[in-house]
Amino acid sequence: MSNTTLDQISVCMPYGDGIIVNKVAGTAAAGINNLTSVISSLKNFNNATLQSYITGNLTALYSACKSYANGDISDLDTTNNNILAGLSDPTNTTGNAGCNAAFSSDSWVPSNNQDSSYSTAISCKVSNGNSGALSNCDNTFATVGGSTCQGCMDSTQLLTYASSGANLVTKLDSRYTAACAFNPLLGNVWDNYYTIKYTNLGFPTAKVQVVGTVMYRVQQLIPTINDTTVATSVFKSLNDFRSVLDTINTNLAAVNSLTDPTYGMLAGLNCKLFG
Amino acid sequence: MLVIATSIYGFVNASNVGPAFNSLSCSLAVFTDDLLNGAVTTNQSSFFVGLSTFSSNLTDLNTNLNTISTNMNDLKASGSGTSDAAVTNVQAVEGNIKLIPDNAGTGLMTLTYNTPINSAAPGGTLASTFINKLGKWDTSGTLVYNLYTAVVYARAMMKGIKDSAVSFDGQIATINSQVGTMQTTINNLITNVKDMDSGLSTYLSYLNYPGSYGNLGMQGFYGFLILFSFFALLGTLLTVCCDKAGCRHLMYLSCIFLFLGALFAFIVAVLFSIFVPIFTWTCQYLNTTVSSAANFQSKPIFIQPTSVPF
Repeated sequence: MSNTTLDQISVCMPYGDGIIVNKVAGTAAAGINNLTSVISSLKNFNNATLQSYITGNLTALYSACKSYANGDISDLDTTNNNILAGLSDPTNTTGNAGCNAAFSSDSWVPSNNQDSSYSTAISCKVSNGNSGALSNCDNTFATVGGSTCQGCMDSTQLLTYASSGANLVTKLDSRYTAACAFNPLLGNVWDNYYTIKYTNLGFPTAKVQVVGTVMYRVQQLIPTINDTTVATSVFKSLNDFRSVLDTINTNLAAVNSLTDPTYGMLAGLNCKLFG
Repeated sequence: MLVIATSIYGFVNASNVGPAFNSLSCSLAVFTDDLLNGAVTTNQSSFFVGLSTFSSNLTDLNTNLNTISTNMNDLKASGSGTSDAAVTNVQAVEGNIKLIPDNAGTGLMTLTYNTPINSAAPGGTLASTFINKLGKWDTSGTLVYNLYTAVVYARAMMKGIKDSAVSFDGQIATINSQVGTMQTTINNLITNVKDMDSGLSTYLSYLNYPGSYGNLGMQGFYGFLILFSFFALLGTLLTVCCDKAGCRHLMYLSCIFLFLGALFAFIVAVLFSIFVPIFTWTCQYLNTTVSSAANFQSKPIFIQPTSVPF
């Protein structure tokens, strides 16, 4: 057997790539391979698979941003997380000096939906069955609606009512008396932690985001990716591209024996048969 | 007794002889047939139309190239068309993803706290642990990078198909001019493969008899040994235990036939000692030959011309 023949059928061997066109088509190989690639895409371009791949990563991004913005996951080191843990305990003598009886009914935790899989999760230290969030507390931490604003107090949500640390202290003074040692401590936490988080990462998702934060940009981004009613979204674009390929496939019906992406000649040029 | 025991074992395993010959011959014959007439690829994911079909359809392909190209006008278009708009739209979203961390597309999110957080005069700073998890578009393993990469991949898929359509369009003239040459090359290859197939069939014809009759022959031989061994044993028992002296003739007759059988087995063993290594080396030779390009295109020393130095 000549070396030419050996070379030509070598691509069909187990170690070969099966692209026999490269061996027999000479200078026309590139054109035929490009046509074969397009024909193959008429069948293989799967917009649903691509959308699923993108959705997985988009969901991961948004879920993480939401968890951190809501305070469900702590982004502090151990020392500062322990500070928050101490502030959540109404029996902690560092903070409960001079406080009234109402103080012992509240536990200020970063979030009422903390992710317990993280060791940094801080539990609510009271068990009166009540909780406080934006939905049932007004900006003076008074009850709105039927659910008492008391008990497990969602700090990340409720502290969005304050305009400064001093403003927060004023609100807490009304609730726990001005002598309560807890008030200025939480006020400092607002200045050093919460306001910085609100400004850069964004508010918790129970509140409308403001321009300039990561959460705002993420929320604006989502429909530009997965909303098929948005004309320029990624998913709409993938669907439109798939439609173009479907139209081509339909229009090539007259030369089906050559171009059918499943049974046509151009779909059947892989000679890797031996092994 | 010993002959009966070993013959029974041989009788049972004789059924492997025929299929072994047939398997080797089938594997060799199928490859050349598949190359000429087509088959599904070994990984079952695609198929080959066969050299014969490829050659005969090239004329059809040449005639319809312009039709195919016209139907791909949208894919070939730049600056217009649905597919071009799709690629452009996805690229715009990539730009927005880059802005997630810092609104500039260049750096990480800014999120640094004052520490200790409950102090009225904190002396230090503390970076949020979320900064590096969020990451940025070009930092591998981060949330923004993963989303950006996924969207870029989708655009690359679409762009790649468009580029292939454009490249094909530019090659139509070359394909037109090369069809005749291609068909000549393929027809020559078909001739060579058919010659190889013909040569193989001569070699494989020697395998037909052992493949077809191997089992029957071996089982018949072992059956012969079992039968006359039994007769010999029967004759011995009747002579010794039942005091039938006349039955010693059965023993004598059986021994004659067992002697002839042993002589035949000796001749068969000599023949197998020639054939079996050849077939074993053939399989090993094929395994080595198809394992790499260098092996496939080399020629063994024993079939090189004597004038070529080792």
